[in-house]
Amino acid sequence: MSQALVKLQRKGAMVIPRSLREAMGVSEGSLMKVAVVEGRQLLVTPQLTIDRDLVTARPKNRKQALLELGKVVDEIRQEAKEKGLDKMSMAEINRAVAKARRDLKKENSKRPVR
Amino acid sequence: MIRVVVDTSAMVAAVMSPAGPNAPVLELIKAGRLRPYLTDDVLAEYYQVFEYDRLRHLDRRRIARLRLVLEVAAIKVKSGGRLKISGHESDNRIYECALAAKAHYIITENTKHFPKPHKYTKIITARQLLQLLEAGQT
Repeated sequence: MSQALVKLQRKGAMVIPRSLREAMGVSEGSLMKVAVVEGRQLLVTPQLTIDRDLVTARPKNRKQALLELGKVVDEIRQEAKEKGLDKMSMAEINRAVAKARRDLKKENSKRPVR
Repeated sequence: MIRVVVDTSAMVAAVMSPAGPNAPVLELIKAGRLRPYLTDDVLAEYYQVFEYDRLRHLDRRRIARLRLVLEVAAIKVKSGGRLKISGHESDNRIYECALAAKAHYIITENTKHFPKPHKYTKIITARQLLQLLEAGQT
């Protein structure tokens, strides 16, 4: 875990060291969510603002969706290559899936039972 | 048309790299040779994987778009109820989807997690499926 000791400045401003900013892939202007965790820790999570239409405009039909699938997969593969994620081993992908399943199980157990 | 349910690991591997053995699965889906099926549980799992620390570095807009496009490109079915075939509880969601879809194949790299075929559905790796397609045996 990367961490640093930083001083809180006027009006609550603080400087996140460059090494941590780079590790998180955030830069000046990035939107961050700040949350208090367990009453004594601050959790800072980078956020993105998204043009709603870009994400929510549904393809009109299956044919269009298949065309778009190719496009979005190509973009993700390109980005993954640039970020060195295309070399993720199957073992690591399996760990990611295992974690996703644990998280979903936790989420589902929090839902009220009807 | 060959009806398939793609296990989450195989789907993520196919999305992330054009080089691995799973990548052709997406090409076959795009070409209309394979018809993927989903349930809400399977789709939620596909999406949740991209919350993994390393994968969070990917642009969230693209991941959200991928989810939406997959939802339309695939055929969504409703699970008919809980199955208990695999010892890995979450893999039973894949079996349930396959049963609802009357899928010909579950495509997975983790064949040990899917101990047996179920009704109409065989368990197969992407590589094996490609071999069958090349041999015209599907």
